[in-house]
Amino acid sequence: MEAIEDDAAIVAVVKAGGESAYRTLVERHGRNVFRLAFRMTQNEQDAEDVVQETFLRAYRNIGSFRVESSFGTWLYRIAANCSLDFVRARERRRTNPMPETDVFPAPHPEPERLAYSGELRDRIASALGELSPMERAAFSLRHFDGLSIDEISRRLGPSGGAIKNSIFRAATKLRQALEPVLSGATR
Amino acid sequence: MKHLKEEQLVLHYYGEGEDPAGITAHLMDCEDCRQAFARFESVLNAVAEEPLPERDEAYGAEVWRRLAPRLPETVKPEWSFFPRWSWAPAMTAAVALLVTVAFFAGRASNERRVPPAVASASPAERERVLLIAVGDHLDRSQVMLMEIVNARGGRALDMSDGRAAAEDLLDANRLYRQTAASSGDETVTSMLDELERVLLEIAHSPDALSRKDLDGLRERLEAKGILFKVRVAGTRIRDRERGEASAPKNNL
Ligand SMILES: [Zn+2]
Repeated sequence: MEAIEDDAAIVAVVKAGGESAYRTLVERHGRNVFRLAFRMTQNEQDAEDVVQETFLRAYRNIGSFRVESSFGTWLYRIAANCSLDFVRARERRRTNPMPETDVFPAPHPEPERLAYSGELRDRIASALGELSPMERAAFSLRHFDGLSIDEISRRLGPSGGAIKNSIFRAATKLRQALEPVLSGATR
Repeated sequence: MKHLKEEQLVLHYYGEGEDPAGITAHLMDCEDCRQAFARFESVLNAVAEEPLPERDEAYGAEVWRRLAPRLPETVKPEWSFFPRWSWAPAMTAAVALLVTVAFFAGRASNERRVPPAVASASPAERERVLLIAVGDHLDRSQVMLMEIVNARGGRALDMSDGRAAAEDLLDANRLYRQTAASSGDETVTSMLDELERVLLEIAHSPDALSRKDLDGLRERLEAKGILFKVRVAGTRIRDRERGEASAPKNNL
């Protein structure tokens, strides 16, 4: 709560022309913006570019930020849009775009060759990698960060219903990908 | 019996479903749904660690290092040490006029010297203009102080712009301090009093501050905690200003 009020005070200074005050906001929110950007782009370099672009866009548009709202939430919304722009641009560059409705192509390994922890971790990483950026972001914010659907909706943009849908699709895809691995490993 | 949809099971797992009590009751009664829920549960419980590249505490500073050179060109045509406030003198003049109006209104209410538009302003409206002006004054003072505190590089700091800015702020500060004092607001008066001494020191600084002078000034600013006080007072006044817009309250 204190940090939010403090952010608002700093934003007021930035709005008034204090560029160096912006440094505090960048230092405070940099890591969280990176996390969101990586979750959505699944690529470290793209995530770094998104972080830069997000803070540039936020700076240019700081005049439209209303002090009553949370700066963090406003910033993450920009980061989410920015990440989607990056992913779309990347998809366009690909000669062979990914199909919209993809079934998991990964072959199931033989249960006996499965080293549980390492293999499972890799499987989780690749299953998460197969989700759409919005599914991954919504799922991660709910599953790993424990944010409510409402808060996720405020941060990412889509309605609560759309966020619920993304989380459900993510959970279903994860089950399809991981259930065979899990049942094999516990045998 | 109607079974639960998978979407309901997933949302229930996250405590986000509608009618959680009804779902729990159904799960107790229905073996099929209980098994379906358990399948989701075991998969989601297994997803415990998130594959994320590490970024340490210093990351934000690194982001800033890359970002800073790109900022001025996107917003400002050129880097200016102190921002220009073209409308600030007009605001100060408006407040000076209001103070005069208040003075005449109290002393000789039937004199026709005051402009009708201002004279007809209600006390609440006048107070709101004052709050906006003082809030803005504190913002500007804060920006200037932060520029000094955050000045970087090994060279001396050119103070010619800073001095002029401090002089402008000083004039406004005196006016607001007197207004606050006459309306009996001790907190704001003493804060403005302290700010005035700092502004005075900056207004009388040499053309260029050496690294050593700058460090000295910065230490004095930090010891007084003036930046913090200004920021807090500014936030309070903004809050009051917002409250004032809906319901007129006590004086400045
Ligand atoms: Zn059932």
